[in-house]
Amino acid sequence: MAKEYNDAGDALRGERIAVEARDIDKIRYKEGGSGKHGIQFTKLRDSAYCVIEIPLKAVRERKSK
Amino acid sequence: MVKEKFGVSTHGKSELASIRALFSPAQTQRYRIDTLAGDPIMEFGMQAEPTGTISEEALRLTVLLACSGAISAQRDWRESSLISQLDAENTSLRVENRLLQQRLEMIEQRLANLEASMPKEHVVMLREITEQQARQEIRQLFAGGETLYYSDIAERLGLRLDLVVRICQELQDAGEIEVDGKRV
Repeated sequence: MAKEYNDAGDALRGERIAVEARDIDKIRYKEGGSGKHGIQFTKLRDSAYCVIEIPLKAVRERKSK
Repeated sequence: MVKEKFGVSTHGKSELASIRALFSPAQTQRYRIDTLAGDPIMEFGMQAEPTGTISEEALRLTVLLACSGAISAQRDWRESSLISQLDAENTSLRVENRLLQQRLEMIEQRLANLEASMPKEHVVMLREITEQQARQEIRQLFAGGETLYYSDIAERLGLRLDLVVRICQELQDAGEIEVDGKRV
């Protein structure tokens, strides 16, 4: 089973993170970041949950020779 | 010097003009017609009768006809001037209208671009179903052969994200689903 981090200060870093919360702030745009197009920023509040996403597919049964 | 006022009716409107006899040594008496504002309208000559006088009635009739023609011509000129002024104004308004239409089209295009770039919000109804039923529905979703992320499943089935993650990890552990290596 994947780990779940609950302590204050725990962080996630990934290419694609799905988030869910009762309340999500409006997205703000931060200009002049290290990225060419800047970055976006928001906050999740109340029962927030985040997970680094992975692409999943069904396992096809391999036919024995 | 005679100075009179005559009412002249042209195009259904009455106007007044003044007439005065100019000094004339010959038998032909000359007259000048002015507008009441003093602008000259015309001058004309009139032959005196054998008695050496010009009847007032003949003078009056001539003046009325002359005034009517002159005022009518002046009005025609004013109308044609007004028409060309309105024509120019109309052209200017057409140009302005076209420019405004172009600006409106540009603003509409920019608005459409902005709307297209904004993330679409839509409501997903969360369903309260048993974990067993959720597991079954997730299996059916994967049976379609599609590669799915946790968020895709949560959105399509209306399930909480943490429940989807937990069930997917169980299915992964059971060897029913796996990470799609091509998409990582």
